[in-house]
Amino acid sequence: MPMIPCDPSCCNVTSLLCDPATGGRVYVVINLNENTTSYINENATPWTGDPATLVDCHPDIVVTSDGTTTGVSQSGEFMSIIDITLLGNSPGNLLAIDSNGGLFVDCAALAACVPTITTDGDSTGVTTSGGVTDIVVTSGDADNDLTIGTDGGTYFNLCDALSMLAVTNDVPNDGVTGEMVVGIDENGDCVLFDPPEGCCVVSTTMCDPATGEAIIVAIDLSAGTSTYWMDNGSAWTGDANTLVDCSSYVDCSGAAVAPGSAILTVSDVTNGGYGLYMPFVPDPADPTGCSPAPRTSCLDVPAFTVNYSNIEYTSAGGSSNWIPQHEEEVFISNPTTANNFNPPNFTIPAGSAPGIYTVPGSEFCHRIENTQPCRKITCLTFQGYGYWQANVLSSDWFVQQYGTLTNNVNGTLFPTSNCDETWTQIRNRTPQIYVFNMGYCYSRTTLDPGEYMEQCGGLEIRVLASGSTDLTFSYGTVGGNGFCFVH
Amino acid sequence: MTLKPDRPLSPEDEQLGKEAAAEHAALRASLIKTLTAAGCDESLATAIVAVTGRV
Repeated sequence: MPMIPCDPSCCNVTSLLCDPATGGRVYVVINLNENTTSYINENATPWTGDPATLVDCHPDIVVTSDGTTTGVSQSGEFMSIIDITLLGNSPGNLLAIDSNGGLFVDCAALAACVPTITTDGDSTGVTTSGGVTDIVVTSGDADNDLTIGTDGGTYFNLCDALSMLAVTNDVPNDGVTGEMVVGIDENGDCVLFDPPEGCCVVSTTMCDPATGEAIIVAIDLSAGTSTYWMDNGSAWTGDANTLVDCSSYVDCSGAAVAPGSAILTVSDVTNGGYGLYMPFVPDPADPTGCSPAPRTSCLDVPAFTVNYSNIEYTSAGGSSNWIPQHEEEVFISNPTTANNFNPPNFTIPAGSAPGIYTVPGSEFCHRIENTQPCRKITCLTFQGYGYWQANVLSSDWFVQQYGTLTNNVNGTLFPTSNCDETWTQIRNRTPQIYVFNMGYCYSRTTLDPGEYMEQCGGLEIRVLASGSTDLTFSYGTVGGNGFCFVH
Repeated sequence: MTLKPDRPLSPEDEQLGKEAAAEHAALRASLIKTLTAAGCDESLATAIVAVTGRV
């Protein structure tokens, strides 16, 4: 600070201004007695420049750290210190000072504050520390069909669930659980059904057209009779001819359901075997969807393969063997004739144009579970004069393994040389009665356990040239009566 | 009253039918010729063949 040329009464001196030309500091001298202002240089000589040109030349402020994060020192001309605390000292503070003085969070300290979650190694539950209650994944209830697998996960084993289908000698409607089979009613709910004695086929693919209720068809192979039951065990007394095939509708997702697409079959050697059908059973009144809303109880069974080793029949000592294949054939349509195939008689009047005539009512579906290569299905009696041939018009054989269509097998739709009769073309030129067996052959000579074949088709007459008399066809033995189903 | 077929014949079956019809016509003509040779009037021979319904 230079010497101030004024008396003690003067004075306010500032050194924050500089000469813009020289950069030298200029001091302002205020004489309070004389009420004058003058300017001097650092060497106390008068500065005579224009005060309006003076510039601010305040010294730089230098801020330096004190080397830690506990504070920051401000140094410089004014030497004031501002201490800013960055690291609190509250208990439990996870922030710490590292080796270079910065703040950091120690992961170990953080982990110590967060509860850990550990599993108990399987799906029975998840345990958390800190007093949180276990989260139970798999219920320990006795009737829970969910199982914990070897990898600790929860899974549903359909075969285990079906192990309840242990079949013993059947007593009709006695309410004994072990003798009952599971069906699906019209609401898609599981129901227990006690089949009648000697029952061989239990199906819920048919529905009452009036109520939509699933009707269980029990076919007694030995007697050749069919009985109809409701899922409450009561006999259904309606007209069987009015039953509708509710398996041809859609499932709850709206997707079309092919008949027989979800079939489980179990076998009971004691009673001749019975099949358990578990089709989708939608509401016939609403064939385009589930009414009024999708049923949550609808059993949406995906394609699956049943491991029959898990289904035991206790009548054979409870051993887990393959269930023996049926030695029966079952017509799964034409239910009024059971295992007989007996379509109505048919006449092609004389003079009818050449062409292919399908025989009304001759449609059939047929299932076979043994391996004979040819089957006769009916006897056909015809009388007339003309040029014609009779064929079994049929779909290809296909092999189905219990609900999953595995592959198509091209079958011989009409018997060929490996059959004991030839009937690919029969021309009748003489007016007499002909009787011959109609049938079919198929190419598969072996069936794997659990496989069966199904064929659907009908009869057709090919008139090559107009007959001069009526061509009449009747089925059965000569005379039109009787049963000529031939195994 | 006659019926209408549900489906037409295949070309192969149609050819078989034409051959059969031709065979039928030839047989019919042969029978009528035999009857007329035996002394029947042609109209009577035709009627006999039609009534028998054989051809």
